[in-house]
Amino acid sequence: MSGGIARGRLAEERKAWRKNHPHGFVAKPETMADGSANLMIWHCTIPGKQGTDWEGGYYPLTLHFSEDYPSKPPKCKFPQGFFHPNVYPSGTVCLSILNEDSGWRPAITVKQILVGIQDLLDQPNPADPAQTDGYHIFIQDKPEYKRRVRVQAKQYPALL
Amino acid sequence: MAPPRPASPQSLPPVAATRSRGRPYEGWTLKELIGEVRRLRRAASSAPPRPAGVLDLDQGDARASDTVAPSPPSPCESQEQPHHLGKRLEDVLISLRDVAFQFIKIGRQDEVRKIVNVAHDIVVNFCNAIRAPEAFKLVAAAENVKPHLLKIDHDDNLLFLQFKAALEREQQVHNVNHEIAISLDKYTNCPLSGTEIAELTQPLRSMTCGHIFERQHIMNYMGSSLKGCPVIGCPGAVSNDLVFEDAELRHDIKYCH
Repeated sequence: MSGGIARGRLAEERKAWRKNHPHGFVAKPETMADGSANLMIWHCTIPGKQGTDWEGGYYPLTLHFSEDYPSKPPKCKFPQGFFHPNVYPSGTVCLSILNEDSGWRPAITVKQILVGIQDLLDQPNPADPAQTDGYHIFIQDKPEYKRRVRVQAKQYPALL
Repeated sequence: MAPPRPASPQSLPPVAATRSRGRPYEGWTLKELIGEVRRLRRAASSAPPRPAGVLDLDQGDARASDTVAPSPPSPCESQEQPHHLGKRLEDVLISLRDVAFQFIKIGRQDEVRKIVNVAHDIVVNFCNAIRAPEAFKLVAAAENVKPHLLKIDHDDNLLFLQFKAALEREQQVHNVNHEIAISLDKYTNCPLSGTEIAELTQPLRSMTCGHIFERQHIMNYMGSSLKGCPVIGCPGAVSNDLVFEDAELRHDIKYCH
């Protein structure tokens, strides 16, 4: 197992992101105490898709890359207690393209990951629940679910 | 009036000097075009020996005086670049096609079959002496003649069947390259390292799907087992036995982009 492959790929990802990234999204490596960038942890912001209850929210997401990237997918985490049927209480996102054993492919880029998670926000997968609160409300009480989503959207306003 | 002939049979005629207007070889008769093919073949004497079963062009000629013995390597051989030779052959083949159309209109089936033999000889014997893109152009030019040939009786024409087989064989190669071109258009970077394909230092290609990877990254990804191709949605597989150094990779990149 030769080192440096993950960091080389992440450097290319950063270059590609700066060249072209979707509107409203933010993705940047963590800045360490000495001012240098830690490529293994990225801090991102995902805007709620227009026309959905998630609109208006800018949801912070952290990407944790391992040394095995891109053979293994990164771990994507929303803040703890994030309200969504497919987000664990710890904030970890449950999504097929982020699962090494199902949909992950090494060619998947950071851009594709973030857009995929944005799609997941308004299109939960009830077949794969990750938290009891979001799952039960989504299944049994749709109006309450929508209300909770809109409340959460207000909790994450744009940082301007 | 016949065009002027070069003094030395070993040298290629200066087409530009002979005809200042129109396409090269335009207006040449079938006899003149066949003679040109013979001269071009002598100029490319370094081409590999023709496969068994393919009739020599000279066999069809009744006059013994036209029979040419195997000639020694031409002193002008090194001066003839493959690209120029391919261009000459392409022009000859296009003129042969035009002549074939004229004969088809007036029902001269014997003359059409003779042209088929000449085109077949060009495809089989010269494809190895010229670059792949030129070969595909030659095949495409010859392809235009085929629909008309299908309308005439060819049950007993063995050469025609060989001609079709040669065309189909080249078409398959062409299709494979075309698919790779599509693949390259869609993925301009190594899927694993993110580096642009043109900048890869040690590129390897997958046999199953044609995708191109940086050696270090694909070896790290594969480990020692068979795995799916890293590209999203690609059904191909990669393993140590299924990736190889493609000697034509640089040419493909230049050609396909």
